[in-house]
Order: sequence, then structure tokens, then C-alpha cells
Amino acid sequence: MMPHYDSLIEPMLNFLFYYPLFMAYLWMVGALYYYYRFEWRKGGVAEVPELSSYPAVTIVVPCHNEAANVNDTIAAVMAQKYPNFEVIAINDASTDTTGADLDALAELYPRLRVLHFPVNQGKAMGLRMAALASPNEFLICIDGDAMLDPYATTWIMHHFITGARVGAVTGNPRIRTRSTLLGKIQVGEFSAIIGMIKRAQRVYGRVFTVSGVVSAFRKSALHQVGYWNVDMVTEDIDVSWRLQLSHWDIRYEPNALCWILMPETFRGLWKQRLRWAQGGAETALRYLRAMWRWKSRRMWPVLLEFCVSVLWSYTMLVVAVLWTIGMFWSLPEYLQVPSMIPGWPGAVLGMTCLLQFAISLKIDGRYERGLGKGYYWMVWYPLFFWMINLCTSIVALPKALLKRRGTRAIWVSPDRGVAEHARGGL
Amino acid sequence: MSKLVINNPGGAHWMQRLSQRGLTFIFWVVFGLLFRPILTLLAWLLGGHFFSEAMVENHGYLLLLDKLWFYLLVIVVISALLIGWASYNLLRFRNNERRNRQPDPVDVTAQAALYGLDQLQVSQLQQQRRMVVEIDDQGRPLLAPT
Repeated sequence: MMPHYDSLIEPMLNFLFYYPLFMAYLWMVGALYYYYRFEWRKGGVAEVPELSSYPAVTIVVPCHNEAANVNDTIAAVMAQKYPNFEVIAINDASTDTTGADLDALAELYPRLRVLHFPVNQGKAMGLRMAALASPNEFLICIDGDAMLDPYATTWIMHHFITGARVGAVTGNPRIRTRSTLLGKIQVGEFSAIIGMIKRAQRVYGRVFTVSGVVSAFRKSALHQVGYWNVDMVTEDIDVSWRLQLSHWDIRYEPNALCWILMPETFRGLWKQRLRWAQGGAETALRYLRAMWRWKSRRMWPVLLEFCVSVLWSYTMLVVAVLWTIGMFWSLPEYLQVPSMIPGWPGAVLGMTCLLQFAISLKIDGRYERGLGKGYYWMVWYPLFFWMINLCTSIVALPKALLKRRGTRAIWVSPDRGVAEHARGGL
Repeated sequence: MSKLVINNPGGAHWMQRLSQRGLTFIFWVVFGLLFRPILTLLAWLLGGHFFSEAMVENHGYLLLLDKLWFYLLVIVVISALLIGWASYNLLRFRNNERRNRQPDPVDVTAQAALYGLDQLQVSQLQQQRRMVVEIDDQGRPLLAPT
């Protein structure tokens, strides 16, 4: 029998409470299953699997105004403990010394090739041209400010060698910028939320996206789907959906570590998260029609989860607006919001959150010593990031709906956190 | 020289470790019962008698248990669905992967055709160590003719 509600608000409040609660448990169960199946009692990151062959790999590093980071990035890439690789760095019309720095590095490292764009073309075009310039079937793409772990290439290649259906592999981004509260919270976020969701999605069999900062591709898979689209704000979400809609597998490899810089200002973080949210909405809208095929059924839960999370954000907005109006004017009883201060539901969600953090630290602790110290800071995560994700989801949907198709996405230099020797902010 | 303190919990059987931890936990609870009079006094000070009235005498705990039972049920169902789905796929495809031959690598001809270039142009690009590439309005690279 359908439940009977006297109030319109009650089902909305139930949805606001139950959706994050049960999704959190689904992620936890999925991540634990993945952990006990693929990670528990396995060797460390340095204990790489023996491969039956070591095919040539091109590591692609798109750069736009990366003079401050490019030396570290290239040095880390060159330290790969893999016998057969080259590096293509793309200088995408940098206005600083990135181009000259890369040319100088190419003198130092014979494996390094440099591709210059005289005009800013954007990351997706950089990746497309690197794929064209690469003679190899396998591409590992990392950001120009990221530092790839020496064993990452072998861990990634293990999936391509053993799985003919594997079209892409996504690595494990680790946050380097921890000077401020925002940085510290993101350390927890990447462990507790992103790592956990990736594992749970992998158990299901389809992922929402590869991590743009460290992901690897089989060129024949990319060629089949037409490589990266240049008019999407997040080329990584877009290519992930197209590969999976073409029945290529995407694997997650937690041992493929990549140390990354993240924003440490509100403004930087807002811009980044808005871009992510808009990219998700753009991708979902673009492939909505392709989803209505029985062949695409394995992607339906991914689409459903995204749509429900956007609906959740808008429901929260409606409830907040009604609550605010109710403070000043009398509303009909069925629209009255009793309180925005969570009672028991808040306590249950809080406990769930703590449990989720504890499990994620246990799972992720093997990749980073002393991660448990971050637990102290993670208490901020539910309030701060759910709020920012909520707001960006609400703003991003109309932006995605109104965006003109075909608009080329080009580089804008992001906030990359507080420099090593600078003073921290928040 | 060996370490003076030998701390190797991994040396014991997992059942042994679990039972030791479980028994110790139970003993902590039993031990805590010794402090019941003090806890009762504190609870009274903090209004614990209201709790006793609402939750115990008026059977409020039944409503709470109902709620928790519902949560547990949903969590068990969604967990079973996810793990069941993963296990089903594992059993179905473990030794029955239809695509077990590595795909043919993309050749230069196919790549060149995508951008309307000739094969030699792409081959040359793939051998250069320093490249300057301009892109036209259609997103195609403008490479020097061969």
C-alpha cells in the first residue's frame, strides 16, 4: 500500500534524509567488497605484478602556464619503473616560461617530446593531438601539475594486458596541498568519498568518470569513440560515458598513485566544483537519447544516480526556500517545514558519516601512512562540501541546459593551492 | 639482535584474535556495570528519568527499534543487490569472456583519415621530438604538406 502523506513536505524531508543515508551505505558496502577482493593482504605499491609483455606507452602531459610545476612533473614521469615509455608534453600557448622549460627538459631527457600550440586550444584538443603524435597504443594522461608515482605505469598496464575489454584505467589521485583547512578537508574527501565511490562503482561494473588528472586509455578504444570531445567542460566525464556506452570497461587502480595540487581558496574550489557539476550535467544531457537502448542498460544506474543527486539538490533548495518564507509569512499546513535543524535524522547521518570516514581511512591507509591524522579535520566535510556540491549542482544544471553546443573549452589557469613555502590561508 | 618486545598479533589465528578482542570488549561492558550507581545518579541529574519514562515505561524503544530495523533491512537489501550483481557477473564472465583477443592497435592510416591527413604526414609527426601544431576552425591539425 502506498504511504499516505498529509503534508507535501514530509516526503521531501524523507527523500532528503534517506537518499544520502542509503547511498552512503551502498558506497561503504561496495568499497569494502572491493577492498576484500582486490586489496586486502596484497603487497604494497612497490610490489608490482609481473606482466606478460611490456608494450610501449606514451605518457601525455598537457600544460598551460605550468612553469612552477613542470620540472617536478616531468622528473616524476621520467622516474617510471617501466621499461618502454615516451612522454609527450603539450605546451598549450602558455604565457609564462612553460614552453622554454619544456624545450630545455627535452634536451635533458631523450624520452621527452614537446608539442607546442601557438594558440590556446584547451586540454581536450591537446590530448587529441598527443594521441595523433603518439606511435603507441597505450596513453597515460596526467595533468601538468601532477606527480606520477614511479610504479603507476606498471599497475595501469597490468589491466590492459590482462583485459582485452579494458578501454581505460583510472588511477588514485592523492592530495599534496594540505596547508589550509580546505586542503585538509579535501584529503578526507578524496579518501572518504571519491575513492570509496570509485571502488563501489567498479564493483557494480560502470564508473561515473575517470579522474582527469590520472587516467590511461587504449588508443583503439578512443579511436572507436572519436577521442576526446573539445566542446565539453569536463572531457574526462564525457569520454568515460562514451567508452562505456561502446561497451569498453573502465577499471580503477588504487595502486596507480598520482600526487596532485588542489584549490585552497573558496573561489578556486567553487570554480572547480562548478565545472565538475556542469560537466556531469552536460554529459548526462548529451547522452540521454543514447541511454534509451537496451544495450546501454548497464549505464542506467549511473545516469539514475546522477539524476537523483541533482533532484536531491533541488529538493533541498525548495525546502530551504519554503522554510525561509515560513519564517515571515504563514504557509498552508501542507507546505510548512517544521525545522531546518536536523533532529534524529541528523544524528543518524552524522554517525553514518563517521563510519564512512573510518572505513575509508582503513581502506585508503595502505596507500598513505598517517592518514588517520586527517580524521580530525574530516568533521567539516559533511557541512562544507555537501553545501558546495549542493549549490554547484543547482547552478550547473541551467548552465549546462543553456550552453551552446560546439563551444570550444579552453584553458583557464586554476587555483593550485598554497605553495610549499607560502603562508597558509584558511 | 632481536627486538626486546615481541608484538606480532598476526602470528595468532584470526579466531583467536577475534575471540580475545570480543571477550575483552564484553569484560569492559561488565566492568562498566560496576559504575551503574554513579551513571544512574548522573543520568538523573541530566534528566535521565524522562528518558526512562519515554523509552522504557511507555515502550518508546519499540519505535526506535522499528526504525532501526527498517534501516537495516534497506541496507541489507541494497548490499545484497550490489554484491549479488557483482558475483553474478563474476560467475557469468570469469571463464566466458567473448572479447579475449587484444584489439588491433590503431594504425597510422586510420588516424590520418580521421583528420583528412595523409599517412606520411602523421608518420613524420610521430617521429618528431619538437612539434609546433596549428589547429584550424574544424579542429584539424595543419601539418606541413609532404
